[in-house]
Amino acid sequence: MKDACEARGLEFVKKATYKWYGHHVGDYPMPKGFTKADLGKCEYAIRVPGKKDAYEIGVVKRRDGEEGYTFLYDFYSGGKGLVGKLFGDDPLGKSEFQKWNTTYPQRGDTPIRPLMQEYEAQVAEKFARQRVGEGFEFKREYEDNGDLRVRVFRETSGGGGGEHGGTL
Amino acid sequence: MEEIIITIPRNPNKPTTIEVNGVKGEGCKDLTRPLEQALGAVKDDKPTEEMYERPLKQRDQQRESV
Repeated sequence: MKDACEARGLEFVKKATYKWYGHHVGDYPMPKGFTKADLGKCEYAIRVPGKKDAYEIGVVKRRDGEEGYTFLYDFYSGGKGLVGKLFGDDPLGKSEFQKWNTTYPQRGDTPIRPLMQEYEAQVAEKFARQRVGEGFEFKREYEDNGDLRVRVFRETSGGGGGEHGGTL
Repeated sequence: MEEIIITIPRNPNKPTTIEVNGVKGEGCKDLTRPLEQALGAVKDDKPTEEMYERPLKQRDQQRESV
């Protein structure tokens, strides 16, 4: 996650609290297993470097019975610069932010997606790097719509598909 | 060529997919299992025709034993 944050121009830090409005006004439902008292507390935080007023993301253990972590963050008023940064500074990110900013009700899972996409790409590339010794190479590709593809591949010699009409 | 394609959509409502090409038999599942574990729970698994083909080595072993 630290690498994914760096790739998206964000900072991942060990921290017990994250910055937000500070008061839950009940306009959006709480994530499953969390109460108002949990807001503002975290195990790690994700912040926007150079924007000291921007709200932060709290990274917390899930409480819905599944393993792993989830995010708590305040996206009201664009999280004072956080949400725009999550979407990204590129043209696609800017247009997605504009659309999100004028869509009601706004959805908290949408701004986090580019970061999660980067996280999944980092996981895929780590998997690929562990296979370089087996002759695999890897490449990251982007589609115009923002979809991301990691191709992990190796040339195989002979065999394989010959008898079946061939994949080689 | 053996190839694993991991497609990670920008749209949060679409799932990440892992496609394996050029790997015959159940070997494709062994190849991608660590990746699936790292990315999260598998919601759907659609085997390709190649998964039902036996790897060449396996076919040769069978031929020798006949």
